Amino acid sequence: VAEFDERSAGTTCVLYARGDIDMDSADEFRDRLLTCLDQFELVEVDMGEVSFIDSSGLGALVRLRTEAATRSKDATLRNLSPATEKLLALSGLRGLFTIAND
Amino acid sequence: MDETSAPTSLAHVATFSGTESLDAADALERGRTKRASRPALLAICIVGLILTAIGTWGAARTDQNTEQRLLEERTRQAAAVLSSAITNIQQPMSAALDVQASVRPSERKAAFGTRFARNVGTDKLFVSASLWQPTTNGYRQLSALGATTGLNADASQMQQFLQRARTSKTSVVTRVSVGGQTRIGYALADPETGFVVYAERAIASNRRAPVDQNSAYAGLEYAIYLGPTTSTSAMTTTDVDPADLPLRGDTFRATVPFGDTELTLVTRQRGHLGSTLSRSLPWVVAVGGALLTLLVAAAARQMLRSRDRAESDTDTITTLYQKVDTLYGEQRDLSESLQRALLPRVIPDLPGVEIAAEYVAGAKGIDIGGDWYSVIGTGEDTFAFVIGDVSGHGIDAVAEMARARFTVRAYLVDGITPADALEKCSRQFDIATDGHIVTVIAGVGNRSTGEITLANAGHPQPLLVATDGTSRYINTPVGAPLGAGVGGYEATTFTIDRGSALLTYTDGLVERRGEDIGTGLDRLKRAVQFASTLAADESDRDLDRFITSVLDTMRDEERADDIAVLAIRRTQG
Repeated sequence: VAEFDERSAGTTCVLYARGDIDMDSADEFRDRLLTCLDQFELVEVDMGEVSFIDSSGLGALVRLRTEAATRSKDATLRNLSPATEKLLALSGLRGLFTIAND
Repeated sequence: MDETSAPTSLAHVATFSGTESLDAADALERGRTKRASRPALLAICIVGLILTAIGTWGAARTDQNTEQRLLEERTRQAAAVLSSAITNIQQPMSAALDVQASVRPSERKAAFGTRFARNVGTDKLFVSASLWQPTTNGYRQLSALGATTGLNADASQMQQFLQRARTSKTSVVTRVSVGGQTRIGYALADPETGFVVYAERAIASNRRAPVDQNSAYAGLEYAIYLGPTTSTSAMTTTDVDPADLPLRGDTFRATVPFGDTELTLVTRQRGHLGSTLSRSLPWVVAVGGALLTLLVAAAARQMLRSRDRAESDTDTITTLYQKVDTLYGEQRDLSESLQRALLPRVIPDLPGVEIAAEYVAGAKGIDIGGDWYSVIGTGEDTFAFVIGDVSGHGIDAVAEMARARFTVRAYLVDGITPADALEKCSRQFDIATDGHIVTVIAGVGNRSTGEITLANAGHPQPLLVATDGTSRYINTPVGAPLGAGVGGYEATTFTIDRGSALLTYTDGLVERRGEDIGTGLDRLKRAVQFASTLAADESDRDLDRFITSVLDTMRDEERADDIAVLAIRRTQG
């Protein structure tokens, strides 16, 4: 079960993701990310409370990244857990994202 | 159905037919409710109406009994009043006789006149009165007051009547007709002196007597007859039209001694004697009972309907659940069939290498994943292999998998290197349009030399398993998955020793919820070690059983993802 919260300031939208991002919640995750991207220049995804992410969830992040590039906008990830960061690396996606930590 | 809007997903079809069957079940249940409720409702109505009828009859009967009793009481009261009236009539006559017994003969006439005159005249007790003295040849009228004595018109009749009084211990009574008028004649004799007082009392010409509302006769219709019979000629007084006599229906009869005869009092209630409640009770019971029956029937109908509805809802829901289960099962079976149809049915027989592969659908959920593997012989000594995973699940993931599978395969068959093949593929896949990312390991091998070259697009690292069961992950440079829009794949080349195996797999094998991926990768190494040890103990070198053993060890009942495993082993010697 995943939960998503948005907070925005100026041209930046921060999407806080919580819980398990799997095939049940990946579609919502993707839709929330793309909605943020529609309205803001920069989308930051706070992954601090993500306990699990599978390839569907990674797909949503990839989609955000490619859409942002297409629209000349930006998307970053922050507060990745070591497990998530490792998964990103193992999936060849580490280099795709700008990763920030608080 | 319109092709353009036709729902292709089986889930949608399930919803559609579910709604349809719900409506049908609803209609069916409405019919069943009617059939089931009818006898019960009819029984309730019948019982209710029978009870109402019994109650009404009882109330009416009680009222009738009350009326009868009241009529009897009233009639007795009326008879008592009548009796006292008779006493009032007899008393002056008796007093007059007493006077005669005590006065001198010369004063008899005067004494009668003075004592009795006040009782005689129009609107008085009597219209006519006379005193008679017995003589040797009949009675001689000594004194007369008021109107002419009616009965004396026939002297012999008069004499007989007086004689009757003389022999009677009480007064005697007779009807006297004077012209159109009826009178009652009374005679009372003194047994000592033999004197007889005769008096006539007038009855209204129509014989009707209005009744005071407060009198004993209030509420009664009555007729008084002289003598025991109720013949018209005997009737003396009534408060109804004499033409309506005798009284019919519920009547009551009382007799009052009257001289040597009697008065017969026949009564009938004029209206209702008892309380209003007593009279209206039968109606109250009847209407109330009918209403109550209706209410109970309505309530029962409602309850029966609710019960039937509840039963029908339960049935419908159960049916729908079963239907949904069936459809989910069908969908799952269909997806899995499609998945398996896209996997190689026969692994090519390549001398010098053993190949084993397994596909396991997710343990939970109905969706099928997009995992696949391919092994292709490409030349005399060369072969190509692919393992891949399309993110997401369902029919479209399987379709995407098919596209990826055949695209990668086509490049490899054409002799394009794994890195170039992935590079070319990466330009053909885009998550924005496909909705999926695809992780792939594409490799080519030489079965004579054991040299393997592979490239990795975001896929878990392959495991190289030695004969003794020790293993190491091949640290390939990992490029982005297909669909991420970036290329740049680097090839890795290494050699497999004889007896060693290259184990490739999809993430479903090693990923567990709430666990670092590293933990899963270590578990796989231990599982491989265990399977190798087991194989050595049993001298069983079968590669299929090896990967089955690995899968058994790695089994996760909570696993939602599917798994594909492809093992390639270089044969000994």
